Amino acid sequence: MLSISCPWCGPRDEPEFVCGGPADVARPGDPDAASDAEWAAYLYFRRNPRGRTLERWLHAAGCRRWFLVERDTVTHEILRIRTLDGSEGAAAEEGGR
Amino acid sequence: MNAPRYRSAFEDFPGPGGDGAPVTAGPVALRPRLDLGLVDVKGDPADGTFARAVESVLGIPPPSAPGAVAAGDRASLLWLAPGHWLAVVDREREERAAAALEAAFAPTHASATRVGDQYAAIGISGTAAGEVLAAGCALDLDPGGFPPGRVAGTLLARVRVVLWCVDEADFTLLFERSFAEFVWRWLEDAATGGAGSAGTAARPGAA
Repeated sequence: MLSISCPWCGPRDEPEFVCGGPADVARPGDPDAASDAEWAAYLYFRRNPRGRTLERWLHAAGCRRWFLVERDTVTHEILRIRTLDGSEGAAAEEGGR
Repeated sequence: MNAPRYRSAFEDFPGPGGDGAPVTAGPVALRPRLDLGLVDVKGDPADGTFARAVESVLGIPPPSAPGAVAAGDRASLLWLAPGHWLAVVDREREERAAAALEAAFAPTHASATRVGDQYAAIGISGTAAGEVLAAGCALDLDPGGFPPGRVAGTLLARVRVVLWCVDEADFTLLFERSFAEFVWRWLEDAATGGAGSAGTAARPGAA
């Protein structure tokens, strides 16, 4: 089980969270010009990387906020956690509640 | 036409008294908290108008630190998320408090919503209260890690709860009211030595 440190609530167990999938999938810049293949790639195809990934996670049982988790899919090590605006969050300042 | 009658979430199953009186379960006392009025408050904590409006109505400003509780004479404010609080007042004051907050929020972008009937609440007290809760909750409930005046949204027996440490060895759980019977029975079970109780192998998170 992962122990994920919510940027606001501090370290909690994985069942409190929902994984929202990769955070680095770019939406087609001009939707009207995007081909079906580009839409399909955006909507359905994921890289399933071995190693470092950047994902969105939701603290569903706690503060219900989305944030970014950079983690390693091989070692399960969590490398970095940030809020969506890129800051480290309030829990870090509070000493990890 | 008859006026609608208030039905508590604890009326339809045996165990808790309809009057909110405490019931002894093993080493702890459980009580339905029928006395709580709840108002969901949302606003921008950086907005001075919002903070002043909250303070003018409830007597306390919204606490900005995660997991903090501001306690006043008329109300307590529980931090739920950034920009999101639960105001706890006496049940009979809930309607007035929500209306007063709504009025005070008029010049700014904030909301106050009555949610007293959405939640059910159980008080659990006794020196073993933290240990009983720990049978189904992964948080460190030791007074050093979760002292009085602290609140957390978390899971208890896989139910989403707002866990509030009101005083030493005195917690209040707030959760969706349809879970009232499940949570009550789970707490009875955990306190009296049933499956999943403190001291059995089924205890999650135990060392």
